[in-house]
Amino acid sequence: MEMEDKKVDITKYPEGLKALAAQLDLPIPPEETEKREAMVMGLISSLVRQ
Amino acid sequence: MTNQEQKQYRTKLIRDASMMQKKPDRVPHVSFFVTWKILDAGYKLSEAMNDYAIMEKVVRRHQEEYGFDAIFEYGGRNAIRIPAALGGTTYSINDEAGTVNYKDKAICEHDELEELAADPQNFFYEKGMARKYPCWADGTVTAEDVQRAIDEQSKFIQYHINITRIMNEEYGMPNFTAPNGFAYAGLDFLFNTIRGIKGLSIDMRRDPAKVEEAIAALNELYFTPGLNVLKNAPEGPNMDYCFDYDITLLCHTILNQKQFERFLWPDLKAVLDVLAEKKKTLRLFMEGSSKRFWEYLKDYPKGMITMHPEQDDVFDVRKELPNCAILGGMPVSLLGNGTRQQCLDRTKLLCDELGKDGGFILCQDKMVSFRNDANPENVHAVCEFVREYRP
Repeated sequence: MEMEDKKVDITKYPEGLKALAAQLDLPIPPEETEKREAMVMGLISSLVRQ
Repeated sequence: MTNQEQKQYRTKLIRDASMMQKKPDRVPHVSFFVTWKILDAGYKLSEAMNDYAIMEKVVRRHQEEYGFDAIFEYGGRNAIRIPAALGGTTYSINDEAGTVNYKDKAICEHDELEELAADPQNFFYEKGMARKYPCWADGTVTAEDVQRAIDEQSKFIQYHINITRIMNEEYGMPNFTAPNGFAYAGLDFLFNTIRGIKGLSIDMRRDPAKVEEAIAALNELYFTPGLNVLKNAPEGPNMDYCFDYDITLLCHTILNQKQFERFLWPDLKAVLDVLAEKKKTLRLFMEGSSKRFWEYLKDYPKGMITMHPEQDDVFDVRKELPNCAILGGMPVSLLGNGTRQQCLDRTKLLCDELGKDGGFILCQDKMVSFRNDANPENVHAVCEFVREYRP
């Protein structure tokens, strides 16, 4: 699945993770890229464990 | 007693019992009731598990009805709304039967262990997600879907914060486990999610070195950071909580002694040694039977470990692990099928034999899930008895 005009497949790693971390509404400031990616990856790890 | 005093009293009861330094005022009683309490409250599982307002009512009612000293589960055992946001079908609720079934599906094949070990995050992100969520596999997932999952996760976390505050402030309930990190042992992860029972059993026999490599890679992400949090925790028990750490294990049930020593014990020992060094306490719930591994626990300080056995006899635990407190002892089979008097006789026996000098916390032997797991009349009787009885 592609995102907007950037044509990123969000199911691919790591580009999909980076794209989601950049776009999603998260309780972490936009400039804190590493923390945002960690949050999204944390969700993925949790979803895989469900 | 005010709610704050009640909370302090209950925390002290459980601490005194578990730490085995002095006899508590009476035997504490902990609730291990999970989905049963939804049915007992008259709701369908699908209603409560999908609506946090209903789940709050269920938890409140559970304490109002039975008056436990602590409740282990506040409705978060099966967080179904998060995977549901991505169309996940891992959980299957049967409201008519009052059951929740979990689809046990391995996300990694045997010949993918090396790929997993090389980069676990990559593996989970691409292959793990694709195997769990059809929309990920077929590429139809959108950023909005993922946003919904993130939002559901936030709501779940917020529910937990709220219900914990409510139970503390309005019901005087203690907090169970201190926030000292969570070190998820690689073998446990392989067992629970990644390879499953059958797959891991085969892996350990056929390619033990690859299992070790996978464990090492998983530990770097999911075990070591949690262990480091524990290592950096202040020394001594945190007396605002009933326990300092909590471990639930099931993977040991498929291990022989050699496999236990090679794949699980190094990680388990690492956590236990830090807890011992810091003089902290642990509730250790070993599902199934764990008796063949008890020798590994014998030399830890008295009162550090509270054993919560599932299938093993609590009287055997007392005999063979005199250094460990015991949490458990009330068979769900008796609560569900026994008479009121049988339940009371069992409760008195446990209190007298295991609790007369402290070191015992009454609890159910397994997560109480199904409607017939417990007769409410029996639960009432046991709760009232243990609240008044002084062994």
